[in-house]
Amino acid sequence: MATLATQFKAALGRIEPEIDAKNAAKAHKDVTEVLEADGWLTDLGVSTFLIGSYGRDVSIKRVKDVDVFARLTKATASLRPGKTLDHVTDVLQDAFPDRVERQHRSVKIEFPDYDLSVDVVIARPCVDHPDDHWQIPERIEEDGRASWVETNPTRMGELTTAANKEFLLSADNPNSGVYVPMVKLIRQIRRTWVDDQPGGYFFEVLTYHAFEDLQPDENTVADYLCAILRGIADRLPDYVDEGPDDPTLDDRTVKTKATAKQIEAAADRIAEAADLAEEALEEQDTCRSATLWRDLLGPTQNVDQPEDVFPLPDYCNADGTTKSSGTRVKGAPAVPAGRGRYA
Amino acid sequence: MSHSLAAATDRWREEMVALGFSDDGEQLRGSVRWVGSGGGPATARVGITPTPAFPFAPPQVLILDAGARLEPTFHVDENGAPCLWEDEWPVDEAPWRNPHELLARIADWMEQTAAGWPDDDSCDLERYLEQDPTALVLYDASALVFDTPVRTTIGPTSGTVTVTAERRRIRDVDGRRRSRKNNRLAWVADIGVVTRPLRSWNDVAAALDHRATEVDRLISFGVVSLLLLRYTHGGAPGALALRVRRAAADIDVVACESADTSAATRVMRAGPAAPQLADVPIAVVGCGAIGSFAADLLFRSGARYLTLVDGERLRPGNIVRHLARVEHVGRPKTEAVRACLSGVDPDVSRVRTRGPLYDLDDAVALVRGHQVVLDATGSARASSLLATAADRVGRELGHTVVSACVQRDGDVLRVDRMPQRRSEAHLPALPLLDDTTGLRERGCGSPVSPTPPGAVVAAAGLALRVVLDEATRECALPASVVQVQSPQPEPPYHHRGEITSADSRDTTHAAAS
Repeated sequence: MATLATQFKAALGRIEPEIDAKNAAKAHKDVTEVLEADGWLTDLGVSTFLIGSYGRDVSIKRVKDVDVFARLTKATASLRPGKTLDHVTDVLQDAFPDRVERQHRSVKIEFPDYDLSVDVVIARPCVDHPDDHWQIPERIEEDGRASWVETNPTRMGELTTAANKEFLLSADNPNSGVYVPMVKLIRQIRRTWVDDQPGGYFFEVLTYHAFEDLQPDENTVADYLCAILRGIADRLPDYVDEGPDDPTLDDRTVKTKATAKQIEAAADRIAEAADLAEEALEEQDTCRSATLWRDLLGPTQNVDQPEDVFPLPDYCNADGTTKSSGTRVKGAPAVPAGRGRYA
Repeated sequence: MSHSLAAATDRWREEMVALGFSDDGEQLRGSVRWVGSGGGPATARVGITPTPAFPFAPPQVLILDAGARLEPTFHVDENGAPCLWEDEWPVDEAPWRNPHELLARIADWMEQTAAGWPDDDSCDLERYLEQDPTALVLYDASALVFDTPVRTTIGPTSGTVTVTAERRRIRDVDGRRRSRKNNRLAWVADIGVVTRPLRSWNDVAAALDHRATEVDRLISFGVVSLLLLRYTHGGAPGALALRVRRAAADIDVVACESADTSAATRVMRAGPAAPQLADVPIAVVGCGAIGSFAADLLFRSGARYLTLVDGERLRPGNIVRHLARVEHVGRPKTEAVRACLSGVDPDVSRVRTRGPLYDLDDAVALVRGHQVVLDATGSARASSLLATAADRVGRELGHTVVSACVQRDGDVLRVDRMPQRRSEAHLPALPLLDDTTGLRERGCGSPVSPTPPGAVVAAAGLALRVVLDEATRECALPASVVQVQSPQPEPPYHHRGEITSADSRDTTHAAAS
């Protein structure tokens, strides 16, 4: 049994997007200032907040894009999203020349200095449930009209916070939430073991369901990871045709760009990963176990200088053997004279 | 940390997890069962963090929830964390590396705390208050004056303060134009048995009892700035020095390290023979290399009735192999040594100095007047005089001459005692080798021995053993004791180690039979 808690703590540190977080916050602030300085948008009650994995604090190194939800709190059912997006594009273009690109239902701004982009998604209060949901344009026609689709981007953040309070490493330590770290590790494993699709959010939802289904209560990150990864591996084949339930909206499932074949392939790979995690946990030799955990988590990605996410203990060789303990004779006492000395 | 220790620490964490502890990579959290003060079982929640000092020091332990009523008193650090082990352990024997022993110790700490530490006699009240690491308060425990303001003086070094026995009258301190002598006064009190740490002025005031009002007044007036509280804990005596100052709403209390300057404390580390040695007259003839260090060791061991005999002045070239320092150059060696002894204990009133031995009558008189005469001259003439004197009057008086030297440039350290007792014989002499190095000091006629300082100090230590053996009348050591630092061609000096005339005789007898 090798849970290697200090190594897992270091591993989580290595995928933590610290610098990205600072840059993302600065980019978000710059975009918001521009939007809130515009009179027309101000009249529509523009108010922004971060959504996406970065907004929920479950992103991992590197963060390449940041989603900003631009709520038009005073917008009515007659608001034309095409016109609105055009205006938002113009406003941002003036502020960030040559860095703005109009997308189908959002506006993308590049921040080359930070090597990331910000996607501004406009939203209006849901016509039927204005207090509960928002609506974003599903597809904008050439005349600027659009059909709207319900979304609840804040809900996933709320669920994340609640799950991180519920699932703890230590019941008497409210700061020992293990749900968020687990989402990050699962996202890292997806990057290492799965080809592009399904994406990170799909696996985040799978992680959420695994926690809800299994209600795990473990003492270490390693134990949690084994349990959750196995839970995902067991359920993933069920979602080849239809994604998992969307935890943020009743009677909806999570959509993915992944094909059925891609999901089947992902299911096979995640099953392999779960087997590897269990082997690592059961391994009695610490160094051998550490190399298995290292292989499970792979290297950091989208960075100039990738490194293994899971650092081996200093006393381990890269091949899983244990380093020589030095010149001291094995079994020789550190203090040959024992206790009761004076000098 | 070495690889093996790091691996062992990881295994230790895994064992803690196997015992039900959670591990977030930094702190381990789990339960510890213990027996509460009422005898009922309790389960505490604890957090255990191996600090960077682990496993050379215990992990930091925090009681998150004792699970029963528990008010920490003694054996806690400034953060309230339990101090589980006050003593140090070799890392490979350290009990905290065994998770079961660690948890048992935590349980024992809680049980002892709940019971009020009934068998505890630690006197470390300083640790429970804010501390001033720069201050040291000195006091003579045998001459304390209680329950009145007393004068303090600046101590021997920066940051030290001495509490004197000089009373200052309240009238003196009340006036507007106070004498400087009445500033920074101390108040000494005996607060008796302590059952819990003092953590604030309120605790101190409660311990001072009826004296608290007056002490508070004097502190508020800016007159008393130091408290010295004598107490006992578990039968052991202790003292707590506190720097005190009136703050806005309260009195600030800061603990200072304190130390007793009384003779009893100063000789505490002198060894078991110290009380016996104090009145034994001992002469050290020759205050050069061996003699100066031997005199120092004798003085530190409790000998106070000393006669230092030498006729030479201290030269700069002597210093590297001598007790004295550069500032003593030019003084008679005897005076230089005496000055050094006064740095150990200022009372050198019974340490006398005199010039060199003159003749046999002089030597006989010296042996008559001293129970032990240490000959550290290295001089054939002086040693002959003393040996003859010992032979003449030593046996009759029970006085001895102990002759110490180094030979062969420090390869052999030798001490002979005279006169011999019945059937004793000294070890044979080492022949003189004609291999002098030719070292000579400019303007000084006699050759300089290349013996290194370490051999000189070792020879002084050997001489001390024999002198103490005679001074305490134990008489357990044979006539010759030799330490061979480097093997010599001549038996019995051809093996490294210690040989004595008794060993040599046994060997001779065994060979003869």
